[in-house]
Amino acid sequence: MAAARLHACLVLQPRARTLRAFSTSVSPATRSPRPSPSTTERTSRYERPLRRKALPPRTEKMAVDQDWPSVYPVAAPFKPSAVPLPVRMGYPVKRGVPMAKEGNLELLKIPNFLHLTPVAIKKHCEALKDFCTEWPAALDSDEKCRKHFPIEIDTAAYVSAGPSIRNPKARVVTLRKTEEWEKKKTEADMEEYVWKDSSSEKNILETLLQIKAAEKNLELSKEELLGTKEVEEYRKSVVSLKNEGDNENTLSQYKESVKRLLNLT
Amino acid sequence: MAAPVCCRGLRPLVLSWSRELPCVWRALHTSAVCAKNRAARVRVGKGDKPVTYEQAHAPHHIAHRKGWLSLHTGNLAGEDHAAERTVEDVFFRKFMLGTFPGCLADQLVLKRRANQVEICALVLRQLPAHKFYFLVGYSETLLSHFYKCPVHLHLQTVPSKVVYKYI
Repeated sequence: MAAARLHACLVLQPRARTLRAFSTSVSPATRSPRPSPSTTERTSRYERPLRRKALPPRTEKMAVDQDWPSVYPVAAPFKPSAVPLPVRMGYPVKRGVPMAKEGNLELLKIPNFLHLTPVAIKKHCEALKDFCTEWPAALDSDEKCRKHFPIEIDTAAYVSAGPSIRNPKARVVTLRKTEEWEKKKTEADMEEYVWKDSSSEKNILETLLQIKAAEKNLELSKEELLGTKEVEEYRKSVVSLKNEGDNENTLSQYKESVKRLLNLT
Repeated sequence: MAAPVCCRGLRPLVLSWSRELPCVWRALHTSAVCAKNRAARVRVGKGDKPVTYEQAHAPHHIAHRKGWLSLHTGNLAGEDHAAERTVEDVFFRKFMLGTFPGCLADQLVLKRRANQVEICALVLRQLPAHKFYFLVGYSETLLSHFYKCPVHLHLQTVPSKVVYKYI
């Protein structure tokens, strides 16, 4: 029985070289003898000898000139047994000091950049150099770039936290190149009907101004007329008529808006 | 003979008439009592109650003396799915509470980076190491399959709960 327990203890040792190790913090209290059976009622007689004392933290074995990027190669939470700095964090009690790093939840909460020291960044750049080529020397100004590569396509990638890697906003792609002849686009070339600066807008404004003049009511100006609710509704109905075509819905909308505009309801 | 007839005739009238009376049909709506001024606060005792830093500080100390236990982009302007992240957080906390019974020394810290979730837990040394390793692998595999994203569990063992003060 004792031999089996001893063997189990020895087997535990090589497990420490698995990819993950727990960060343990040892305070002077743990170096004292194991708690008496009266305090730990949960442990069974067989488990007690298996629970060995926590090992001293790794910081005690670290050399001053060690390779830090190998301790923190990627973004990882703060491990107090692997960071040899005497960091303290927390609001102190009266006549006290901030709490130590062992078991400090505040240090765990904040994002740390221990994996991005200047040495580590330099290493990353060195590794990436193999995949980069030199910028062509002939393209040294923005105008030259625009002349030789006129078409600019803008895509945006979004980083957010969540199980899904998709973001619908990333589907928007902008093409940024307008030719000179595109500015000569006339009303007849438009793909969809635009009400602004159209003959419909001019007609309705003239009609309304004539009505107001006949009623001797010249206070309203063009902008105010355009901003009224009835003109807005008329605009919407005309746009939907022209773009969607004639159907019951659009025609009835047009009828209502005209009646309201000319105060015939 | 006439009486039952008029009763049958009267009954529906009586019912509809009483429904129009507001006082007859008043109902009482109750919800669980949850006073804002008692949330997440450990009540002061005789000076023998040990509290951790997390328990000692009330919610109005968040962003002043306390950080956030869960970090994700859902609450930023223009970002979606904050509610889904919160529900996931609640599940993670309940799961870990049940998987490591009596071992958690403090609240979990959940961090999300792109699509992975990092659970940072402070554990007491209640179980032997091989049992901890098994539970870590079990939790990570189960949670990753459940949420279809990488879940990493980082444990930090402490000998006992870290006491901030006694209240």
